[in-house]
Amino acid sequence: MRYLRLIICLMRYHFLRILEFRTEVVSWWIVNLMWPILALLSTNIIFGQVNSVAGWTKNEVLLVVCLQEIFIGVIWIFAIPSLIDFAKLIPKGDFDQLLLKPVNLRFLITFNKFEFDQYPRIFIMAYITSKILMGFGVVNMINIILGVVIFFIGVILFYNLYFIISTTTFWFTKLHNLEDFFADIMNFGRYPVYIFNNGLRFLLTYVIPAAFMSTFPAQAFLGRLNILYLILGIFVCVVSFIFSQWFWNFALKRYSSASS
Amino acid sequence: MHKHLRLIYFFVKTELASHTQYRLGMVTWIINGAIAPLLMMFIWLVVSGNAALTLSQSQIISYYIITLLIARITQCWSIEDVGKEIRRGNFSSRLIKPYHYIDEEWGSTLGKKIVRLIPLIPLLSVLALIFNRSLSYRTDSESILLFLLSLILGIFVRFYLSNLLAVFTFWLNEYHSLEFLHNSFMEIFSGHLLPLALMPVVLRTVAEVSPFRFFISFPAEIAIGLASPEAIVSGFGVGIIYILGFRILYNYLLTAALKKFTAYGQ
Repeated sequence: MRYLRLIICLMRYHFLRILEFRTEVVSWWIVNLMWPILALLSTNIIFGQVNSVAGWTKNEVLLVVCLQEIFIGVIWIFAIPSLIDFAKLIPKGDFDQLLLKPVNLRFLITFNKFEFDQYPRIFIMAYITSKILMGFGVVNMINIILGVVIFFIGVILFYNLYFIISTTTFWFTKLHNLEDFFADIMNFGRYPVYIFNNGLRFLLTYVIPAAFMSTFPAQAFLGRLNILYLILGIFVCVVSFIFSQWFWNFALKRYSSASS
Repeated sequence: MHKHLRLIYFFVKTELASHTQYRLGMVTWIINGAIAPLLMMFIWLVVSGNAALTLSQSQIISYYIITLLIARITQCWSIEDVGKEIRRGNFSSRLIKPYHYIDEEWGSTLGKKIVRLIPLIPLLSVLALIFNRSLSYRTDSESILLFLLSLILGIFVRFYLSNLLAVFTFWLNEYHSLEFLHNSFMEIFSGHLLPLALMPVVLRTVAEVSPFRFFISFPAEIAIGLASPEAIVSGFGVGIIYILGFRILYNYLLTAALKKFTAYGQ
């Protein structure tokens, strides 16, 4: 309950902060719509040449693209801005101040910052996703729930992955261009992983879990997901969280401040 | 001229020293900007198996791999660097220096390019090994020379366009939206994600007259032999016109901006 109140407090703080720069927020809302437009445009250009790619039709691929854009929007609400901020604290020497706070450190680093630029992107892509799904016929609520669960499994998996990468800042001191690095990794989920050969498909399912970002949720919404992937996803979520926590504690024990 | 070159060389060294303080952190640059083009390469290879495209599979692979190199070479950060300084009020310190800040921008940009090219070598090596049999580039001396000249053309076009857009920060008090708009148009019209040859006619026509084409597509087309001699000549002509136009507009707008510029706290 205490941590939930803290999250609400931090969200309110950041929301009030952006209200100081309303024009900038609106311009960011517009600008952040360019990327989904690009993704949809390039998909349409591809399907101007063919009717299907690796057995996936145009609407099915558009569903994957929309889910990937929603995923990017969701993970940009708190995870990526907070982790990028954390990665900047260590070279500046400001991390020590966080160590002294009476709050779980991982919680503070994860929910330190909230961005509200992505909401129009999420809502518009969610609307397009719903239109695409309705185009497939009767919408099954169980499939929707399954798709949403798999989607948030992907969010947690990517959060854990990014958290582990950000933790390496303790050794690297300064990770250049982390924001673009995170965005590059998320590009793997733009199209169905089935376009790749078996080796890459394995990598993008079990190592960099791009399949959980958009391909598996899309399959779940369409009622085509093998339930084993849901069980696998939950298992990998738990394992990755435990590993990320262990790695975090391992890194903290070896941390020595440059200045306080 | 000699003074400018010495200044630029100095700032290149400064930038290299600054970025190599934390060398391990450069590992993130290995894949920086490479995933999306490689993903599109895989998509088009799958599509080419089911449809007759204007590019062969060999040309698709050669195109996307060379664009990884070209994109790094022509990349420019001036919109963010200069825009940030204007926005934060630090730009005044650049104005009182005994040289034009554009020399510092040149040095900084060239230094950053060099630093970001180094991590690209392992990725390009791996790709060259994997796709060795599919790569086909023009290797005659004339084509190599034209390719190098087109790279220089692309560097200049992008540099002056970026600095021109950065000047608008004086009026807008904001540079992020300028940068994003620039990057969005660049992604569409530069050929970074989609070769111009595979675009619909309308988009291709716009891309061919836009300056973004010189960032990536024009050098790539020369490298893989897609551009006809007439297209190469007209391309260089248009590129030079863009450079002169952007430079003239930049000088005019910068003069106008500095007349009304005020900064606080520095």
